[in-house]
Amino acid sequence: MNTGWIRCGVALILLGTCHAAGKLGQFEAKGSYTGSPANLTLSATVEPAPQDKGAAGGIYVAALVQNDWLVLGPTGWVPSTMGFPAYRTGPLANTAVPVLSNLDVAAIECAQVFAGYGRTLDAMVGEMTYRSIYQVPALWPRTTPLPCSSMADADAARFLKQATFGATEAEIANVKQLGLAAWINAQFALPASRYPNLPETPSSRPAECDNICGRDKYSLFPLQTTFYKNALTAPDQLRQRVAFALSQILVVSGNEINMAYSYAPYQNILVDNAFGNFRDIMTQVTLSPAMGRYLDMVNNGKPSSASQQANENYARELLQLFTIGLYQLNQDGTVVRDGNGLPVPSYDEEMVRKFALILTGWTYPVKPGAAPAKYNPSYYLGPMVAVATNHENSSKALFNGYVLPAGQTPEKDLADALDNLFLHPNVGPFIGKQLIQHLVTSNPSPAYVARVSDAFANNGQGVRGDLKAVVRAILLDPEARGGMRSEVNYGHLREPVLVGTQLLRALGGQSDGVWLIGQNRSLEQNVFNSPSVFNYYPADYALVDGTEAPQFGIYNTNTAIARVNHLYSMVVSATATGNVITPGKPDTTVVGATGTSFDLSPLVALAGDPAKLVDRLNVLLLHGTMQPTMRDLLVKQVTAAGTDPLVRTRTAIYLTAASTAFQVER
Amino acid sequence: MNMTRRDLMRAAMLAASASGFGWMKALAAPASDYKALVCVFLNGGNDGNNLIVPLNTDEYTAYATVRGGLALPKTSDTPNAALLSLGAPKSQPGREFGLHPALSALLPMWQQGKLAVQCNVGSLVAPLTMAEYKANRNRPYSLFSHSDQQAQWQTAESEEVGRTGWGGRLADAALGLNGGVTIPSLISLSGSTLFGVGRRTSPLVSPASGNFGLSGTGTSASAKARTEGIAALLGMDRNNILAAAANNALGTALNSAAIISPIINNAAAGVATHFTGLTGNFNAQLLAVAKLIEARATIGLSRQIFFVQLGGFDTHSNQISAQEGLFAQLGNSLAAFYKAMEGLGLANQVTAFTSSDFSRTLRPASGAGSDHAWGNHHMVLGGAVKGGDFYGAFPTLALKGPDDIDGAGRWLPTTSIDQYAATFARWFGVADSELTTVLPYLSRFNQTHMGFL
Repeated sequence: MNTGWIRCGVALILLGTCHAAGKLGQFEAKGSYTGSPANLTLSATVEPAPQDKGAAGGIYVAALVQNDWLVLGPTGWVPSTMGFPAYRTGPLANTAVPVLSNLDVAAIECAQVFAGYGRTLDAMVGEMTYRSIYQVPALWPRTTPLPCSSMADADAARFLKQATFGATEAEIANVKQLGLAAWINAQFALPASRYPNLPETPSSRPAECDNICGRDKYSLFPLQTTFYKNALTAPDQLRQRVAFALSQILVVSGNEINMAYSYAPYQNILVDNAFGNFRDIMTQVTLSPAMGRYLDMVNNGKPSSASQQANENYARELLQLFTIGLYQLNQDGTVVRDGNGLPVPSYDEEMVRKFALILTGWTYPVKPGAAPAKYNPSYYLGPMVAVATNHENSSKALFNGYVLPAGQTPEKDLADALDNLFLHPNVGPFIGKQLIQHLVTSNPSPAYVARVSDAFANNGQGVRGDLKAVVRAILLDPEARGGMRSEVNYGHLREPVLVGTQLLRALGGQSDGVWLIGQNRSLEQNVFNSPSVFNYYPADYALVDGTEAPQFGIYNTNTAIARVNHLYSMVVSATATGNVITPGKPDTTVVGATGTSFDLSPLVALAGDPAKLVDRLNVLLLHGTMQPTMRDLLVKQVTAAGTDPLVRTRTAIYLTAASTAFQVER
Repeated sequence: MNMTRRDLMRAAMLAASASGFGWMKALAAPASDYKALVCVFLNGGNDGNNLIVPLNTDEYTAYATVRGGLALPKTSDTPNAALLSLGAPKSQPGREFGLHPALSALLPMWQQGKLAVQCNVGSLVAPLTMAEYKANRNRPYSLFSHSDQQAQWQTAESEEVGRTGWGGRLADAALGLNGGVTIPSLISLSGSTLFGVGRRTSPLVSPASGNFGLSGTGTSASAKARTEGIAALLGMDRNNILAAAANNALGTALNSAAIISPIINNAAAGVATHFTGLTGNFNAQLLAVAKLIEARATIGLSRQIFFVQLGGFDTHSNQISAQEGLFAQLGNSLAAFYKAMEGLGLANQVTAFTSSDFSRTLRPASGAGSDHAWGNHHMVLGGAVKGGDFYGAFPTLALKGPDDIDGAGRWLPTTSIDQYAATFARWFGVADSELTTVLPYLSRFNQTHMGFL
């Protein structure tokens, strides 16, 4: 039997409906004002999943009003004495729950209602083999709901984990003061923190340039350190976070290209346009010499004979990964299926060939001082340039009935073809869903995806592809918000980069990035060096049961242990000077090196009382969502670790950060 | 995989006690019943058209004319540059084929009859004629896409996205033979792999060498507090599917690492001598496999499947030198691995085989490379292999010829992944009646195995 559970936060200013559906059955909980003087009414309905209807079980309903529990017994609402009777038992059927009404809004800040069904609580507690069975007892009576006063804090912290490289206490206060929408607008207005250009990479390193010189001038190292510095301290956090997400969709990798100076211009395209229009990104990425080299569009000449063909590499990935994806999508991101239930492809091999031909005739930008040629020598500053005589310009039928005319210039063909692609209805759901997955949750509901697709299609002023509208829609969506989400497939596994930056920002730490580069390389996220154009992990990676889980593409038995050991190196075994922990000492060969460190004094001061220490970490790292069983465990382990306050503090951080409560961000 | 309460207790016990598993040796299967498969995945789409090349004058000329700059020479003044003659495969008298020269280390195994070639194998939903293909019937999903064709090679499901790999399903089928051993019977030395995900089992992903185990375990109060804390956390947060999956993987890891880590880091392993002088990550993976097989009694499994991977085969440009470098690694390390198995007396019990996303177009692409194609040739190596021979049908190397789907030299496969995989599954011990559990499409094909084992 399945058991479902929904928890719905209802604050006075956030009155509305909370609804969950799917494998577990249907649940709806809602609040509304009635009467005068105003009072609050909470209600819920429970509809068991079809396979559970008629089975023996109970309907369970509880409410949290301010900080007091009420439960719905067979005879009506009663104050809880930590017992949890069923409202109805017997064959499970659709049940409308009697309302809890006449709550005095003057006396309460918030109220929440919970509804679910299942077998008896005891029976459910005992069965651990089917994941959805034990949800009711897991949330009741051991759950500690967020106190009403901290719900706004928790949501602000959650918001910042989605919108930045980590919530800090100062930024949480800022968000609460400005409000979410105004905070986003303020971020839109900030100037971009960009990547500095490197000197042109020589074909071989000059003799006078030693290894350190080579690292600093001719490798991706300075860009990687810039990435981490910006992630940890740049004011334009939202831009950096969105650019990082885009860099994992429109991938160029140093794994294959050794011309380091080509990277700053490429990454700057994504930073500069993170709040721009997706159509501009399409052009600039396509004409980037870094991408041209990576996916072989550069010097992709008009086929000279029947025994040669236009290079299809960029054309294929432009369609498959950068714009529309393999299958026709509904606006809610679900796949269009044919009469046999099979997914309908978005394009065929012939379309790939057409795009490969359309993209012929582009070569490297002309190096200053050099004469333009049909195939310019490699040079990576500025966009690729067209050579009309090397361009195949026959007429081609593209998407949606559009026919590209014959005889056009390479520039016009490119502009027209990218326009045609940009107008394909897949682009919004394809890109929008991936951005949701990077920023918020791996399994957004179709309705959530549809709302983001709508924003992509029209920003409210008739403009398609406005990423400001898309980012706003993603972060302000009701499905992104709330103090605590307990849907069974909510959230995403934190990618290694975010584990490091979010911990450091929460603990008030600092880093020049050097230590983080190496750590995350061993966790399979070597920034700017993904193994292939399919990113560090595939966008469509899923668990056996079909639950989408992209970041699990680099989570396995090896990296699972490595992630815990990463925390050991960072928190437990790192050198301490007083209460300052230094996992990475400053590398004396790096100019301006600061290493990686954080001061645990504020936490150490609490360590005399393990419960206080754990409670503080609950706020800093888990926005107050730590379950009581976990809290009990951590207090016990921290106490067992000994009496040294620093050892206790290290133990507490290590266990909190290693737990899935932190690793799976919700 | 959902974790049972017993698994959780076991994980907790083992995490707390690094010396666990002593009881397991008692369950070890007799060495005579041991078998292992090694899947060697050539990531990126290996160009099979330059793996095996026909040397008969007419066929070679046709090949060289189309390939242009990508053609391998039949003769050369430069040592090790020309194709290595395989002579005539037993089943194809009168023809002559050549092997890529960078694979010279494998030539002796061909001559000894331990290396076979499966021709023109690829993803298929069902037997497919050219007319059906052109009428857009029964096509595998997303042909020519890396991610999807890799998935199809690993899942043997080409109609729709599969969530389990055929290696994992084979591991499921071997559960009975493998007794109660908790170390997964499928071990990947190359990160996460769909190939290894079973319906009932999940793979162990191990590093090829180096640290594999929780840091900072020990007997101090703080070490115990941490280790016991990690073990106890595994049983919490079970509501959320993603959290449960993360905890399950960590639990499997902690169960296995204490046994696996000393084996892969054993510098004194006897098999290591066969790999002397070889370097690189791919070699390290095969060396680790050899060490794990040498230590099979410690692990206690009587059926094991390994996954190793060599990347870089997506040769859209600069193909000649890129493939040459990769093949040198592949050939040298595979030959060393075979000799190591001979040294253990297990050559007949261990079979290695290649897989890859797809082959590449016979017609070169702009940039001295080639594009994504379909049906491909693969190698099978082992003492039990009926080698020195080709299996399946070698395609006609002609643009717009009978095997070419579109004029670029993309071969319509004449053998399916299912038939290729089923040959291994049967040898591994899966009863004919159970084969479709491992390979659900198999019954659509008349020939249910290829005969090379």
